[in-house]
Amino acid sequence: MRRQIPLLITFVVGVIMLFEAFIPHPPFDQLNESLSITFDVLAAFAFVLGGGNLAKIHLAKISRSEPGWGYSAVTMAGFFAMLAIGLFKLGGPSGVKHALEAEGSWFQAAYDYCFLPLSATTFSLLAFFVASASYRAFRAKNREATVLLIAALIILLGRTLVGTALTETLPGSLELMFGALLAYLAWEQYRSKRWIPLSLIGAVAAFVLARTLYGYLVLAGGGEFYLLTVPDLVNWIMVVPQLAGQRAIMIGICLGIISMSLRLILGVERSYLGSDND
Amino acid sequence: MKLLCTLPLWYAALALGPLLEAQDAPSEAPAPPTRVQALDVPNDSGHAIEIRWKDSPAPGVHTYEVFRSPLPGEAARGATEAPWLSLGTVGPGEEAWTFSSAERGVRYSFKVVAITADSSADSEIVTGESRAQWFDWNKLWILIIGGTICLFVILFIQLATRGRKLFVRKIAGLEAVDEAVGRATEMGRPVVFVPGIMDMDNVQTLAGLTLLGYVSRTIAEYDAKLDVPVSRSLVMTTGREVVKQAYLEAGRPESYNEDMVHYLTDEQFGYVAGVNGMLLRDEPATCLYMGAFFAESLLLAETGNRIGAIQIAGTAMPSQLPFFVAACDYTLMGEELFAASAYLSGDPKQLGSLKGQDVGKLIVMAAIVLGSLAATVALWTGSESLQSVVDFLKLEMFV
Repeated sequence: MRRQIPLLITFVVGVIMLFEAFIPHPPFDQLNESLSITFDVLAAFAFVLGGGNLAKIHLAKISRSEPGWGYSAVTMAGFFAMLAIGLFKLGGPSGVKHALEAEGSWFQAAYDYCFLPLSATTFSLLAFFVASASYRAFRAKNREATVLLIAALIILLGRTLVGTALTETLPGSLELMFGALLAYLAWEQYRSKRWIPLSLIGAVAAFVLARTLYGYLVLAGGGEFYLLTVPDLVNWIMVVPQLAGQRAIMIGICLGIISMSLRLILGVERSYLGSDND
Repeated sequence: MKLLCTLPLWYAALALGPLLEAQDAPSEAPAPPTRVQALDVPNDSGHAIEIRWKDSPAPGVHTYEVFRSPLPGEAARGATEAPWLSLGTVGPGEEAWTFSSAERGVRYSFKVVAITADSSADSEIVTGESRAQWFDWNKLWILIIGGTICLFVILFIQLATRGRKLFVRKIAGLEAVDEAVGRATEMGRPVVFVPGIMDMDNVQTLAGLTLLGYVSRTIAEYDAKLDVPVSRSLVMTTGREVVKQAYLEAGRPESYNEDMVHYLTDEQFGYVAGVNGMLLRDEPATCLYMGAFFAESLLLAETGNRIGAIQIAGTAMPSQLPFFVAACDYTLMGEELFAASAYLSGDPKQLGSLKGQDVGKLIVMAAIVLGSLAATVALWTGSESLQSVVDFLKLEMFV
């Protein structure tokens, strides 16, 4: 019974919400908002459970003097200090009519001068973590990583001030880079003695390099060829391969959500409901 | 001599005469907007009326102002002193205005005023009311395509229930879960499971918790240690139920401790600081990140990488996937996160739903190939019929 009732509620609410997406008529037009508000109210009540759990775990650590109990002491000091400041509205105008964020309130001061700087500090660590993760990801350890490295270098050149300044007047850079990449791949095929891929890649590489030479000798200084610079290549990478990949992932996600939602509504997926036993 | 003295006056009168005449004469009023209509906006909940008119043919009209009649209570409450309420203005050439805060079922009167530099002309007064519709026809194709995919999902679930064998490709990240838990057991270190930072109303969190069920059952079987820090109270209570059930199913209810799933904070970076502190102090052997992540994804995964943990991540946030790919050993990308619980459970019914998903992919692939071919050929040949196919796919079918 402990499972049947939640399953029934999930099914009924799921089906109603499916209808809601296609029916703009009342009462369906307000359902989404009403249910969201109901959820927020439930989540607010559940916050007491979370706060209680936090206090229980850290107070136990402090009382048992477990390793790292000092961190728990700091956590509890912050927790109870903010609780007292918020509940008794210290510092600002008291009374239910006044907001916690009113001018002069300790709550707002703690938020502005403690919480925000600490959050910003944690967030700013991201820049260093991005650098270390990029260094690891862009090592050319296999073919895919090499392609990633080349793409990243091009984006870096095209999106930075110096990179753009250095390459914006270099005509045919797109062809040159593609030609060099294809020549490298052709060389790899030659070393592996794979003649069919070699002939195919070699033909494309020869065409691209010949077109580049032709561009330098005949078209240099004007025309469409002159537009093919690194910043344009960056735009092409962002608008064509990057966007195509992202859309493919998004389509997969949408289909995954449809399938997952159906499993939940039909009660095929039940593991999130937990135990049958009380 | 007297006549000569008056000549300048005569001259001035002759020169300024036409100008004075032009100033005195009343300017011609513009023609009012014609064919004014007040139409209910279709496919909505009955809160919008569109006012349409035909542009005034007279030159010099620089603005159209749209007015509506006040409701019975509005004027009395002093909402306005004027008998008409202005809804807004549009420039010349515009021929429509949408009144989007109409009360459902109330009949309003409207008029459109054409305004020139020094005069104006009112249109005829028209009336209209907004009504709610029972079906949003703009979403017809979404219903058809979504309904087809849903039908196939249900069909394959039925087929799987009747015993039909279904092939599902291997997902490397999920194959590695057992190995990762085994490593933690051998090393005597905990497994950390992070179910994202969103609440239970997010389907990614639900997918993460279903995976938690499988992972905690394996952990219970191996008798390893599990740590699940969460950032939402409801996720904590649900997570506890899931882990408790998994330990029961594994036959080790005595090993279950409800503090395995514990709350840290709702705040994003406070949560990051808490989890990172745990990772650095406890040095878990395995870290699993399954759910909805934002900027914290790389902060968590890089810390896990630094302590040398095996890391498996799964999220449907496209912007965070590159970070997980860079910092984790395995990454479940998008749909793989939703497929994970079905894949790991081995339950034929759940695997059937994955096959239904594949039919959805086939439909999308067919539409992409058809659209690309039609757009390319239409560009070469200038064919209008092919262009209409492209427009249909772009604007109607996949809005």
